[in-house]
Amino acid sequence: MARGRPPIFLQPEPYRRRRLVDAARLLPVFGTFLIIVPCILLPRGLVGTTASLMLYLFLVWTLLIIFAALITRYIQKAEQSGHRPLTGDAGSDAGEGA
Amino acid sequence: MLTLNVLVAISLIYVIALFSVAYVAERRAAQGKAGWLRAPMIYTLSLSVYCTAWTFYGAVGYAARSGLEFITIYLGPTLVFIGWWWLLRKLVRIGRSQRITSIADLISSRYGKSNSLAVIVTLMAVIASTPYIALQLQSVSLSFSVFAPAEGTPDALADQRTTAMWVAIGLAVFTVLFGTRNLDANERHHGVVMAIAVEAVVKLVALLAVGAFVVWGMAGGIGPMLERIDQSQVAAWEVEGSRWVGLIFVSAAAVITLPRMFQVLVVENADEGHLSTASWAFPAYLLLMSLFVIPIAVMGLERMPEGANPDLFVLTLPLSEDQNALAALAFLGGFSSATSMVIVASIALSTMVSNHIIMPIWLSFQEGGASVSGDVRRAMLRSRRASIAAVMILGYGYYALSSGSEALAAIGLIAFVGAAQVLPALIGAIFWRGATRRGAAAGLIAGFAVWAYTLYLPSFGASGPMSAEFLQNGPAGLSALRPQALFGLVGLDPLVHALLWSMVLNTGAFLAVSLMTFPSPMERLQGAQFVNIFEHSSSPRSWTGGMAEAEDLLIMAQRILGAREAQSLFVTAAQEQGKTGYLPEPTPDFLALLERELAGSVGAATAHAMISQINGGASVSVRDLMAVADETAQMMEYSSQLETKSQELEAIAGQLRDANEKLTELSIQKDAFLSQISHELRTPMTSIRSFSEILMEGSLEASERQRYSKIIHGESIRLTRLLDDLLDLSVLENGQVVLNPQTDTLQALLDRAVAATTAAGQQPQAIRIVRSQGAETITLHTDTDRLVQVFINIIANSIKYCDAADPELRIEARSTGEELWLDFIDNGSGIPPRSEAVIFEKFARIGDQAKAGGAGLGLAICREIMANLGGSIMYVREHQGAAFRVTLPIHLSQAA
Repeated sequence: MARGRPPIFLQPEPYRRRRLVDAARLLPVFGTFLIIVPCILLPRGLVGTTASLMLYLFLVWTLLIIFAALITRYIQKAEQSGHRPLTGDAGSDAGEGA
Repeated sequence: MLTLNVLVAISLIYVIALFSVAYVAERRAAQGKAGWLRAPMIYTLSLSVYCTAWTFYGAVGYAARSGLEFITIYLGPTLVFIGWWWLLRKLVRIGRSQRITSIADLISSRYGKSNSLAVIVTLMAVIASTPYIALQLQSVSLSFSVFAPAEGTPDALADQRTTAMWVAIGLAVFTVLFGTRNLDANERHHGVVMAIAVEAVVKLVALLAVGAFVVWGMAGGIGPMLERIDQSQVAAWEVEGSRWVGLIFVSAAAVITLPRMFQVLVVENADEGHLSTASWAFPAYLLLMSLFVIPIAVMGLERMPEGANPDLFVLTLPLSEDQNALAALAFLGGFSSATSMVIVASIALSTMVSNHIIMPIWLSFQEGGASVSGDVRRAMLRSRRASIAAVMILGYGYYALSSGSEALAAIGLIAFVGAAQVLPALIGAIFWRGATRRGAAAGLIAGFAVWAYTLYLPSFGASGPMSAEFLQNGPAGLSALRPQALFGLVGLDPLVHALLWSMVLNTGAFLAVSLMTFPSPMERLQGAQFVNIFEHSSSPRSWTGGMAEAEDLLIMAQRILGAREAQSLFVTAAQEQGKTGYLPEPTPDFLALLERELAGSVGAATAHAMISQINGGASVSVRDLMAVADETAQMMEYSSQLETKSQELEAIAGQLRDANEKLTELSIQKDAFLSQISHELRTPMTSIRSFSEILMEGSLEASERQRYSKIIHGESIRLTRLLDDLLDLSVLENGQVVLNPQTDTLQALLDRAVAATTAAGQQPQAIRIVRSQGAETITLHTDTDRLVQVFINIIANSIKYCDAADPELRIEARSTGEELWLDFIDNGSGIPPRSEAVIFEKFARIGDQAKAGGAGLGLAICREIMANLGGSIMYVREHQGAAFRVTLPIHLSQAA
């Protein structure tokens, strides 16, 4: 079955880059969810002690920072791989940073 | 024990070090060696002005009172920075492309450059920030007082005020020195940013050091520390959902809208790429700053005596453990936090106050406006400096009036909520084209009024403008208007209450009024610019690094305009700018002029693109532009060559066309000539053949035979004459004629001609020939036989064609010494104008064929003869009858 229809052509880099931007946009949404939900939706008893809540928050925080750094790095790589951004909103020429 | 004097000395050394750092940074930037000054990490560290003394000292106090809640102040900004792709990126791009100088400028610029909006935002910023600056002064003076031996004496408060005053003066000097170096508020304050980056490192290191000492030095590791936390009274804290969400929201809003944050985030941004680094590095900084807050608070509550100020645990905890060096470091950390905030806040506020309040007033007082630019420049700098001093005095005054009161401690969050009131107008400005100036003003005023009524004024307590009774029962007993339970919303935390109402009313007024009002053209224009910023600006512009060098511009212009023109243009511009040499400053005026000049050569669009690229675009190098310019020059040269060639081709094509026409004409003439010849030959041949056939039959009478033979003879003669003429013409036309020059008088020649024509004598009527005998004495040296042939022809023509009742031919001779002019004028009706052109052509006969009796070659032969004799024959139109003028040289030149 390998000789089916040819795959629809997609320029890999710009496509990858747009998905990375999507990820960058989604990250704060997840972050907000993770930071707010345990504190207001869960019953008081489930929140745990101050120390455990503190550990949880710092863990979420650290993960957010790491993911943000990774996504930023990949976006920069995608931009530096020679493909100019397609549309104005999806792109910035931020390649020279870092 | 660390004495106050030692501490003062340390502070002074630290301050001197900061001044030096700022000075060196300015120097390097001025020399163009700003490379590492513009590193993304410097930008990230400068963002740390978010962490003020309220953070450095206050976070621990906050944690001691409310447990983990303090962390919301850092989680909000973290979410905003991690989500930079939503908001910050657009904000920074707008700030850079629109050259925004402050948050008031941004709001004003978006809503049709309305100064009234800028004034509203500026006033809000000053009112909300002044207590915050006072808080910083208080924290510095408090931290000094910790070391002062005179604690508790009546002088303590006065000492603190003196300290605060000196700090305020020192900060004012620093800010004036490094914050108002350039007129351009948009230019980066390298010195200030560098000093703040250093302070950011100091405060982070200080807090981490104290934290590490507490966790590993005092608690004995992470595990024991966590146990202590859960046993501590800090753990008694419980999450309160509304405050948790509200504080995250308000801190997220404040990190954008606080004037000082806007200053470092947008105005001081040197490169958009820095933001992508800051998006994770700044949250990391905040995380490190809050990492040890809870442990320090827990340990402070455990170790410090009852009633000790938890706001000073960072300082007092190391002191109580006799860690003097650590305490000094902590002190410097707090000092750094306070001073960096005051410096940036006063720069931001002074820019706003100066640009939107002082300068408009000053300009309106100037009669006839500011005509001299130097005037405005000096006034701008002066007003900026005065504004800095005024902001500092306000801060100090506020501190002096309210020190000791509880009001100051809570001011941090109150200021945050106040700053957040700009958020709806800001978000609307960059995402909603329908937002209008009136809407923004309505939202700002509503939000600010509600904030002042429900949070700011009540914060002064019962001794402030609102009495306890007022707070309890509302104005004039109207319980619906109770400041802390507006419209009956009882039971909410006052801060959340104020935040909720102010944001709801602010946003509601903004949206409603925006929907109802109509934007001005300027607003629509700016709105489109802001909302669609990524479509308008393809690449970020760099203000400091990418300025076009005048030399580059000159090189480019020379390649397009030509060396001499470009140089004279530059020299003129330089002289107009009052500069010697040939390189003017690339001012906007000059660039516009240059663009116009270039547009004349390469077209407006290309010129604009080239200038804007060389002026602002960091993405196109000068070398690329040179290539473009070279190409353009080559193309221009090539196109001018093409133009010349096409002109040549056109001329040649015209010649070819003419030649072709002539050839076609000649071909027609040749055909006509051949058919004419056949006809001319055929006519006599036919009669000869017919009559000879009659003769051959015999049986004719002698008289008839005689007559027929005569006809045959006559036709033969005519045929012979025709052939002679043709041969003659052919010889003449080919230039193969052999001339036989002789000398004779004109009179003799004419006599011969007249005799020949009249002797021929068969003409039915004779013509009277009038001659001017006197002029005919000229002696000619020419081929006289040929000339006589011409005369005979003309005279014979006159005899043949002159249709007058009494025909007369006048022959007039004139001589110029070199040339003879001879006119033959008859008194007939002349030649019709349409026939004039053809009379010299072969076989051209006008009128009756029979009358002519010749082959029509006479005048053609005349023309050829005259041409061979070096003269000409032409028809003269002026006279009534037919007139021919013969011109010929008196002496035939051998060359002719």
